[in-house]
Amino acid sequence: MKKKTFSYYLVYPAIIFVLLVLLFPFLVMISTALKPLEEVYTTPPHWIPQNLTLNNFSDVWFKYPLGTYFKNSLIVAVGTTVLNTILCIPAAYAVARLRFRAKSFIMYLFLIVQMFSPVIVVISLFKIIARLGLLNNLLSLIFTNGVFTLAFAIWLLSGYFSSVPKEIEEAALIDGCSRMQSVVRVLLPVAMPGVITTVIYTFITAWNEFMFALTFITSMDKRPLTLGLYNFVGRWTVQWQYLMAAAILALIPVVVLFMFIERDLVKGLAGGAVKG
Amino acid sequence: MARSGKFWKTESTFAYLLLLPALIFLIVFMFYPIVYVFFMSFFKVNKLAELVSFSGLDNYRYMFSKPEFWQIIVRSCMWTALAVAAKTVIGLIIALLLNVDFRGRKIVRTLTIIPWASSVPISAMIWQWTYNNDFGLLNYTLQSLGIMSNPPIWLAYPRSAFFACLWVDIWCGIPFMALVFLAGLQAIPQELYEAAEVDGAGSLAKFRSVTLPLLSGVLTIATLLSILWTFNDFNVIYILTTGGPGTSTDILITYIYKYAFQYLRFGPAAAMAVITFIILLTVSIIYARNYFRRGEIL
Amino acid sequence: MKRKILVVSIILMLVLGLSISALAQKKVSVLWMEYDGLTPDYALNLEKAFEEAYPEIDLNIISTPWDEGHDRLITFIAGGQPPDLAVIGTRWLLELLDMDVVEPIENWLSEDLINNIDPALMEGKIGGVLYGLPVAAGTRLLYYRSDLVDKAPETYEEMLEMALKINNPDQKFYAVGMSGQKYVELTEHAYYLFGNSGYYFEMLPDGTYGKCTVNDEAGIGTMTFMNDLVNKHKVTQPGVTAYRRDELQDLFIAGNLGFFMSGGFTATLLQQRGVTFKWDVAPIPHFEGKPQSSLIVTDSIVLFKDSKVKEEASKFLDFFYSDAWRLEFDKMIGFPPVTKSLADDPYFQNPVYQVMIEQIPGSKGWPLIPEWPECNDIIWDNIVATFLGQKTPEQAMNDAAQEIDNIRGM
Repeated sequence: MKKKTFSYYLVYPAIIFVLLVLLFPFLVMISTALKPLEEVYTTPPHWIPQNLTLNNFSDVWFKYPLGTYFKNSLIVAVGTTVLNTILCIPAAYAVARLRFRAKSFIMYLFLIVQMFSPVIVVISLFKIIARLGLLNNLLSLIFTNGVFTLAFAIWLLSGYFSSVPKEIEEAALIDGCSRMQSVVRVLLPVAMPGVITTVIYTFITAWNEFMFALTFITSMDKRPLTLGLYNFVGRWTVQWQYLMAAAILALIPVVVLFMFIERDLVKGLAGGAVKG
Repeated sequence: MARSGKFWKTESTFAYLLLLPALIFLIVFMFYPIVYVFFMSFFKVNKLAELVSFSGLDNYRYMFSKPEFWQIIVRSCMWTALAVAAKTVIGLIIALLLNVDFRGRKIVRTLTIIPWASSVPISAMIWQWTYNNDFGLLNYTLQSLGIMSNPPIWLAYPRSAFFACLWVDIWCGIPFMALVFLAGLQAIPQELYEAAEVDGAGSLAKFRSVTLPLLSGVLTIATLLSILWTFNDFNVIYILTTGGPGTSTDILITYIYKYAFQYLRFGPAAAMAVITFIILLTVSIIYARNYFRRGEIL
Repeated sequence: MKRKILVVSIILMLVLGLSISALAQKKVSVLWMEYDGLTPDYALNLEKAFEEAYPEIDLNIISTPWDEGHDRLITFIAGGQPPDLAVIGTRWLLELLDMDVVEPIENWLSEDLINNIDPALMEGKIGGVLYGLPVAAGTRLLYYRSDLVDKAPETYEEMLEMALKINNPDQKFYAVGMSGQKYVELTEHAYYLFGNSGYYFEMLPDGTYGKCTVNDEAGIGTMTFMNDLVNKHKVTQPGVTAYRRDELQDLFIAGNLGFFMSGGFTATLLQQRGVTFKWDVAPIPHFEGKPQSSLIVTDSIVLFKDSKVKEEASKFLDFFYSDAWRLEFDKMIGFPPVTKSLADDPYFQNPVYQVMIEQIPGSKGWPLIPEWPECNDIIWDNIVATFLGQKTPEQAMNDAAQEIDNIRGM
């Protein structure tokens, strides 16, 4: 055990400062969401609501189909994550473990997608989605989000796989495992934190995606949450207290997911790129 | 390495097979859109985004003839450089803090992720409300804590608006960076620090000789992707200022959006997208070459 | 390895399978805009009621946030999937005509429906042909604090005089609200310009738009007056360049503004939020010696050429324009009725609606030219440059006019 030095106690004030800065808008969200309408617009504003209310939360939940939006967002985020994992594990394995000529070219190819903002390609993508008959289908979001998260997932995972010593797998091969078995039984468990990292990255990206949802989803009952939050943004006014309340609710699944896999994530997020 | 000859012959075939699903996906969804952007940039394009006639470099010439266009390219690069640098430095500092073994670390880590957990358009709107001069809590708090007696109306003036937007972009990107670095830090074997201590290294020297070199792989991936994302970050600026006041906070991507969706000039918009691509590809090649050379993957 | 191939083929089959989806009923799709005050339920109920009345038609209302509406419509059209009907801001109509995608809607409307529309609101009539059926139309109003001034100012000069008296920035009370953040609409500039007998373009005898005239005497006078309000008399809220119209509206509702020009929806909000101060509405002021003229903004429904269900779309319009549905719609969005049959409805006999209706004859709309969005931005940028002191009003308006004429090849 390391002795607790003076600098150890400096950590707390530093952490508090960092949290205050990072969470400032979050505190604004909470403060606004707990205010009744007439307190939202006061000058000067105040932090603590004088008449604290939870009505905004119940209003957004019961007056708007927020439950449906949550369900759609979950389908999209989970679907994208599953798809992305299925696509990326073999691809990353190939890059990390096998030798082939076009390797760096293919790695760049995945990266190139990130150089075109969705803004630029959205019309062409719309045509493809329409051709595939996927308009107003949550699959369209799963596929497009999947494509846009491929690059980071493959780059990260392949880095991770290559940091796992080859000898472990070779030993398994000698023991009579097939290649598939050696990957599933040996490599994946060791590289699990890396896999979990891509999972949370993909999940958050898909959960938060807005542009494709706006373009490909046409009916109210298929809207994911990001689009649903725009119920509160009008042409003439923004219903801030509702927007904030709904935005806080939207944070919950991500925070819960993160709490569950935080320990593995932290071990995994980029560990692959550091060769111990 | 001793392996059977047959295996070596099939190794690259096998690799391509493994890559095939991901590549098919990539090609089905992205080949046409990206190629079409290139086509549009060399064609006269009608308001329906259909190619009309080949026009060579007209779209490029049109953009470069605008006096503010160079300014916007420079601003985009500055925007990216400042934002990525700040995200990296702040992310690294937070990662170093979170790497200290203190009580409540798990909760703090979870709290740190919050800026990442809400979507960028919504985050930008929340900041718009926070920056609001009348009802927003930022200026009120700065004033009542005596940090700034007369804080500016952030989005009203070119310079303050630029930095206000920049900060929101940085804020959105910090958690990702912090967590990536934290993971990198945790993967550094403790023995290396102990060895450095034996050699009499102070904290700073340890950071320079042990932490930074071992983090450089993570730094490369994270900053490279962050550069690509930041350069193309459209939501923050568009929601906070629509590129204003005037065009003082416009960057390439907001310009592209305006040209494409508001002015329906898809040709120049595509030309700008290609320019963006060239800039980002150049940066990526310089970056990734370094990455490949270090032998992380190959 | 076999499994990989399996995965690939499953994905491919999935994609192919979904692409072959059969069509049974006649489908009518409507791109629908989410007006403030209009509840999501309205569209859902309308859809349900229509489908009950016409079981052979499958109505699909594609509801869209207003600010995203234009860009979304463009994606649908450019993506080769225009809806059958769309609610649009009438100023987009020229763009759509330029693309050659809209159908003269007058050919598809029932006699009863077309006769029931107030002809003064038919902004969507281009070259004598009606392309856009008015769906909402409203002039803009002056909102003022009737507890602070005795009567509404008729002229801007009067307003300035009153403003100088009531302005009290130390108490965060600002006499005149002015928005200065670029927006899809030029808001204040149009109110002041039209009140000075100015307009954005010279109107040629054949009804087309000539050179840009924001730098004529009226235009420069207007810009000078606006700039003086902001920078010389300082009777506006500080930092005008940070404010969009919705933020100004919030400021007025919070009781921090004396005069503020806006649409009818602000009145609904003022009532909803139960403000404690006294307020009233009046016609938009004008400059001394110039006639009163408000901005009128209309939204229209257009029918797309590619639609294969024009008959059915027309049935939907008849259904939607029946009094019961229209009345609920008009009430929610806070605009006066576009249908004659509702003009005498008691609901609309209050000052807000009356002022909006009275102003219609002298009012002007946005220029109907396809390049308007770009012109709008150019003018905005120059207004902002004036407010920031980077250009004089004259310089700014000259620059704007020159750039606009350049773009339009004049």
